[in-house]
Amino acid sequence: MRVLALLLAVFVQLQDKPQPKITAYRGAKIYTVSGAPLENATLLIENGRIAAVGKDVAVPADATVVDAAGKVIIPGLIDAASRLFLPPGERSPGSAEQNVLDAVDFYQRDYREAVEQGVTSVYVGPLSLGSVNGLGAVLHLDAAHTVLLKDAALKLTLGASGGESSSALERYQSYPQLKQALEGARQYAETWEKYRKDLAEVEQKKAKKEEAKEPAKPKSDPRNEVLARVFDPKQPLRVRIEVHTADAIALALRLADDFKLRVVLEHATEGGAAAAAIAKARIPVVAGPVFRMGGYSVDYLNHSAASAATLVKAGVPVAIASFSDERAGHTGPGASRFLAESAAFAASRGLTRDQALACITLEAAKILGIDATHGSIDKGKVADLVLLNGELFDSGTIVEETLINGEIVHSRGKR
Amino acid sequence: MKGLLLALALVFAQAQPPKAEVLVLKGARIVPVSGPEIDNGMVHVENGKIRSFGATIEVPPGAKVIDLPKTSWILPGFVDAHSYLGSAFDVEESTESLTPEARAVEAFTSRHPDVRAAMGSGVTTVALAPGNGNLVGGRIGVVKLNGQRYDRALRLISVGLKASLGAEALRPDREPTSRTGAVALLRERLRDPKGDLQGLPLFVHVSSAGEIESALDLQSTFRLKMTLVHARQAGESVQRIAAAKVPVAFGPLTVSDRRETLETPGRLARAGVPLAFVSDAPWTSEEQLRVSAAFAVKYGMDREAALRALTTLPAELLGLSKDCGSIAEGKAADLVVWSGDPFSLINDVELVLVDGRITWRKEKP
Repeated sequence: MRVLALLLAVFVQLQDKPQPKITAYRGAKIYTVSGAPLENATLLIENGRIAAVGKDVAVPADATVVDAAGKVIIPGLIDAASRLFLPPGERSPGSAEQNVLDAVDFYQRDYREAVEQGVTSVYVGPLSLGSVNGLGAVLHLDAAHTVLLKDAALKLTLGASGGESSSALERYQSYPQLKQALEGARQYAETWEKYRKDLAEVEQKKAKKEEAKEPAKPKSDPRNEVLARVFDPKQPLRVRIEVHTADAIALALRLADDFKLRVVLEHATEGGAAAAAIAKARIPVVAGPVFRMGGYSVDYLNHSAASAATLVKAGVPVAIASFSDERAGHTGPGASRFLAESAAFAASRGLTRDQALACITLEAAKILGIDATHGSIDKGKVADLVLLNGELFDSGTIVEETLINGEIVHSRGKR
Repeated sequence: MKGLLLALALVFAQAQPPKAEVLVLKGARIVPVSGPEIDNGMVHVENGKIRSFGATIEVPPGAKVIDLPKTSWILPGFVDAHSYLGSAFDVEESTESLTPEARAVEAFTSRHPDVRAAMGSGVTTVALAPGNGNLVGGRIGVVKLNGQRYDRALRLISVGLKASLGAEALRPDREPTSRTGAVALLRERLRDPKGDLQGLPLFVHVSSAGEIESALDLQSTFRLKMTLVHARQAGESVQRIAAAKVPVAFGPLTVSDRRETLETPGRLARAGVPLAFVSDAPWTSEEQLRVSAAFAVKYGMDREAALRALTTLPAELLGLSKDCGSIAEGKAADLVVWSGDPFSLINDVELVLVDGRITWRKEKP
């Protein structure tokens, strides 16, 4: 009976006092990333979005106030190349129409450890043999695993080794293959463009009761449907090209130029040697993995933790990503947990703390195409936030809370 | 035995580096490891040794003073307790399973790119070990990363024997083919009072909890001076290892490791197990040795214990305590200047001294 009464009391209380929708974090040092860090600042969250951020933000009377004095708030970390949710050892020959979302296994729980370390969004892409691998996507690490961006990029591979052994000739078969595929897709796009134009003319003539012959409908092909989207004049599909060696990077830059593609380079292991050329081509790089183990693969022979720093200093937009590449000795998607450590270690070779943070937040968001809503702490953006007990890159700093859509998805203790 | 002593003496004679300058490092935070940390301190280096250090010491006339940024830290050069650095894994005699006379240092190439790259890693002393493929692989030796040719880099040809109870040592085409066989063979050799396994510390590669049990059994039966190497699954036998008082050369920790593995060094250290980190280079690079320690700290290991696991403890396991592993008067001036706390991975090595000589300096951007 007493239990019933208690339940009733709770129920009444819930009815009477709906949860306030505004949360205010007060007194924290806030790294907006889009601007200079704010000391002793206030952050308002409303309906999952950042409602206000600054030093002179008035806290509404009905807001839930969190005293964050002495704490640090940064945007949720974005891993621009993760293996979370993907089955291990997935390296089948891919093709353009294959979509990573069909391989994603949301029952895998590894992502929780990444959330505990402040990662809130990840790009997952097809990791495949062959030269055209398929479509990648950006996922939110909330409980629902919302797809933030479907068809975020088409993944290509250029000059990567196929396995334990690899000859240069074998590696570079991908270049003519890619040229051929892209040339075919361009023709495909042009054929359909012409068909649609002809069809429109026929419709016009028919409307005027003139005689007109229906144009022959070209054959539709799912592979070219995807590939052709890279030539879409309004919203070209991003192309992410996996490259490692400096000569493969040069070939990727040539492809980008020849076909006027919107290219992002993945890995760019020897990017340090090609930094000036990449910068000149205005092509961003998703750099990594920073930590290499084993290292038998030809692709990682000249691996250097310094490469991301060299690229940033050359003016290349860089995201530092975990990558979890088996050829670099990784097993499983664990590296996503160490995204901050990856950025820190890469930055030890010549980046500032602010640059290192940008490489795993705003720069990553820009390269993925989600920067309108993610990647920095600005009014109107999604409230993906990390509350720390100190500076992100200092030993001993702990993630106290991770927020996605303004909801606490990880908390180290009671508030 | 006489031959070995002579060889050792020869090595020491040749290992004397060219005469070093008198240096005073000034202005940094000194982390001696074996004593309290000193803010804004000074270190006086002479004849390759640490002459003195402290908050203020007298600058000897003619000394070259190196002013360091106040934010920088001076630590002893790290000691890597187990690696195959510069050997391209060419450290196994695969047709035989017991090769106690083989010396891992023979495979060391001082000009190997990994050795060059390791100059700025913060590691100054490296143990070179035979592989895990032989039941007894041979002698573990020690080199210093002083940038010099092999005979001058070499410090010790034999600080111990490497044995392996891992699956790698079991082969279908020769003995041992099973762990029971492996243990039996080792017992047989250890029982021989005049055998070639007597008197040397044994470094045993083990991975699973079962292999750890086997090694500890051998240790207690023969009262061996033993170190467990790798011991990835030591988390399952923390109390047993602690009770046996057997040290562990653990690692490397990587981004792929499960949480339990990442927490193991902390658990071992808390149970009182002496623990040293290993790079297993080239499996991970020497520059990643501190990453293992930083990850262990992140997953609960005490900072001080992690620091000792990179310095004094590996030096002790390798029998080098008198020479290196901490900043102490009379020890070799193997000193590394970091831009800050080395456990914060954003900090980097700025300057390296080995035996009092500057061997590496970070390029100015």
